[in-house]
Amino acid sequence: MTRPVLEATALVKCYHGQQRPAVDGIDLVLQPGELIGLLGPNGAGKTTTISMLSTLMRPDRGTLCLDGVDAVSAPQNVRRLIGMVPQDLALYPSLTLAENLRFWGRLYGLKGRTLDQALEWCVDVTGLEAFTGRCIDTFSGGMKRRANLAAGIIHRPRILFLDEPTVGIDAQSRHQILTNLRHLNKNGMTMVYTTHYMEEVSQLCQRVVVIDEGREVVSGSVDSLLAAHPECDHLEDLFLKLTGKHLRD
Amino acid sequence: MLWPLWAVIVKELQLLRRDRGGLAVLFIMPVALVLVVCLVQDNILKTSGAAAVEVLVVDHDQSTFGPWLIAQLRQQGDVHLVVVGDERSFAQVQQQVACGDYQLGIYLAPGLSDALQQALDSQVRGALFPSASLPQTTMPSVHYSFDPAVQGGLRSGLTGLVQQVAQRRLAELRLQSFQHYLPKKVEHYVAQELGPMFAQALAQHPLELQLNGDNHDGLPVTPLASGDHFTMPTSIQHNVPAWSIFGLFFIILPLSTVMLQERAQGVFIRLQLVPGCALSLLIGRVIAYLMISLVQFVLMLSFGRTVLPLLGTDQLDLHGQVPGLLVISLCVALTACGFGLLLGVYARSSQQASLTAAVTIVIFAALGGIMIPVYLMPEVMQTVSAVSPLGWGMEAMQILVLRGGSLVETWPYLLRLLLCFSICCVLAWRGLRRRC
Repeated sequence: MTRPVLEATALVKCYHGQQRPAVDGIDLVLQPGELIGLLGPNGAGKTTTISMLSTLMRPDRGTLCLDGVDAVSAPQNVRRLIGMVPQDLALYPSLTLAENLRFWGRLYGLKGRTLDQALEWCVDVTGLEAFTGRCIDTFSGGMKRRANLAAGIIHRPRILFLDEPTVGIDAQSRHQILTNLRHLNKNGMTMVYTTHYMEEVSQLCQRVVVIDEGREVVSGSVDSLLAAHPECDHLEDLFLKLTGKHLRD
Repeated sequence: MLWPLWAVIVKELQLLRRDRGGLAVLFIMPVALVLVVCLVQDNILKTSGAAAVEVLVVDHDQSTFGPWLIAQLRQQGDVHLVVVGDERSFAQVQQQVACGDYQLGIYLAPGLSDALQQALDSQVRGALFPSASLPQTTMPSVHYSFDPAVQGGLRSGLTGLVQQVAQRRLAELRLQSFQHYLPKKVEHYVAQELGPMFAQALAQHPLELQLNGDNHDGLPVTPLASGDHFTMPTSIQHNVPAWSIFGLFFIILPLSTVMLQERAQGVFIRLQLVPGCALSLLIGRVIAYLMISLVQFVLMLSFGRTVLPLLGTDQLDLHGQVPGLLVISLCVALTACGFGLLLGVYARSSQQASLTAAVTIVIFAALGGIMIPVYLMPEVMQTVSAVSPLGWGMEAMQILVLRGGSLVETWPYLLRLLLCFSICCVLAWRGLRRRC
């Protein structure tokens, strides 16, 4: 059996001044090339979980290993493996797409021909070849999202964290991004995907982890979960059944 | 390490190239400030005495005193005299001076020289011949009036000058009078006390006195220059370095704004995930903004040397101290970058950073003698001014540009600037590490 790319055990995070932990004992194991969807209502602890998994935030308790390396005590040693596509646009709007991508590539030590090839690859994957010379602030919403994805993958990370990467864009752009992600995953990139769009998870993810109030509620493939709850026709029905219909914010 | 550093430097320069507001703050604003302040202060310096003073002399006397006074005043290099002999009254002179056409008006009334001579003759005769009956005379006045805008120091200086010149003339005329009457007194005394034989002998060999005051030089009073190129603090010599330092500190604004925008836009999240990025980010930013600061500083000095003289001001004189000035500007820019990093790391928003930076720079500029020289401040404020980094930069530059000193003499100020930069960097680094 291959070594897991990510192995988190009993992760706990409690924010200062809060009595209840934001994340309370999450366990997660990701095999290489796996694409999982992290679902949960607002305030369920998705962002805190993804922040800890991506080493942005240090857990109060629990262990986290990325590619076999302890990511809690030495996050610097594993960050090269990680790619991040945050919900907010993580690009410089006044720079062109090429300038942005070159900047991120250089930060990861890419140079010369390697940098050029990486740039060509990521704009090709995201379908932005024709727009490398344009400033980001002239892009449409969908193009900005794809550019955000391109910047997250330029150094070819082993694990890609995607925090609601399709929020606020049209169906065509969403379709394009999901196609891009499927392509990347097919080529071996492991992904953790959070979203509120259930149909995206149904189409894309091999496994779903639903969390609420900082704890895992259920985990498994969409088909197996629906089979275990025959009263639910869709993932959204199941989600509402498991997390309730009351408003969270 | 070097490649990510290069990435940060290139990115910062690209960002600034597209930031028109930032470029305006860094290049146009300091140049505009120097231009306006130099031109405005050119007039202020006239009223404070740092530039040539315009003096109107209305000579209705048309005798000996007027030409003598004018000749004496002309020997003062910083006085530009306009002499007229027309029908203008003293009230008209006062009015013209009050309008600001001249800083000083001197009015010599008709018959001034004659009245002065008579009054002195009367004084001398009264002293030599107490029993003689003499006509009553009064000492005439030299009337003068100041532009109300003329400041205390210049006012005292000009008053002293006019009084000194008048007293000197008085002493000369008094000597002439003694020269005339003293032999008569001696003859009278000899005839009365020693008898006719001595009087006859004295008549054959009359007493001759030469008491001409022109032949006696006064006590020389000579200013000592501190170094080979002691320079008067003209508007340009003060303002170009001063506002260049002010401009260098405005680098805080674009620097902190870029950092805060990164945090607001989500770029910072991605930056946090780049291994070893924090140090590259700090150093790369400092290098990029130092380069920009040096360009800005050279631009300001060039402006003072080439453009301002075309607008009628003096030319900035650097006394060949360009390398030293660049070293000082580097230290000032480092301190400014340190402040910028600190604000970029700890401020909560761009608005908060901009406001804090602007207020801090203006307060430190005021304290540091950028707007008015430190020696003119109250004692308490002079003590407080010692904490201003802008003041340290200013002092260091004045050592080179005004006091004829060398770069070695500026080390206490450079040390303070570098220490301040180091403290800011350590605090910024700690803040950044906490987030990464």
